[in-house]
Amino acid sequence: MNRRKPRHYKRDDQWIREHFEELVKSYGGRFVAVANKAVSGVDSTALGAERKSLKRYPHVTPSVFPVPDPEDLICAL
Amino acid sequence: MRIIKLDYLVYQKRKSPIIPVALFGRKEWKITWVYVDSGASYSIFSTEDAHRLGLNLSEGERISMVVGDGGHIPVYLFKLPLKIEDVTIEATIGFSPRLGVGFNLLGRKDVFERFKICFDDRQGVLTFVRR
Repeated sequence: MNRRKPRHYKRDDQWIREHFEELVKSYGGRFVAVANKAVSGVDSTALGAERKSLKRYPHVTPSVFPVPDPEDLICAL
Repeated sequence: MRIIKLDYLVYQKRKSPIIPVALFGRKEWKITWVYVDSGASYSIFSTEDAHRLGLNLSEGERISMVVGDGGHIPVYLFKLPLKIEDVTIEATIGFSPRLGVGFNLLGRKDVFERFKICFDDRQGVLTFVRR
């Protein structure tokens, strides 16, 4: 069991920050995977998005997250 | 003292404290993004992420939590390694099939006890200071 550190953690962060508007507009309400500074998987489930990404880039651990709808970003939690 | 500064995500000039974290599930680290929510008692993720982490919900501690509309949702709690930048802590993470918002929440339990966290909404920067 490798608990040393996650592979590729931080690698795509800046790309996600710079492209967040596009992600919300294009994929709001769905899960996306990002690897190698590109959207590498989109699906209605996190597992589905991850599997699509790993099929495309088998050796890259993707960032997988739910992309909020625009309305979700104005919340009163 | 370890100080971590992370930029907010920005959508149409509105800044949201959404940051990358890594969670260690059954056998490996998984990377995701979370909304840091000082008003949430617990961190709550969707059950989608539990599946991705290889967790069996029935092995978690089942509790009920009240949400913004006054309703209650079931949450399954696990203690998992959580990494923010290069700092790893053991954090209680809940998973719910009825998380009604479009992102995962990083709440206070364990996280706010192990870090002092400053929200700078004007600059759009979150600062984590490891205790």
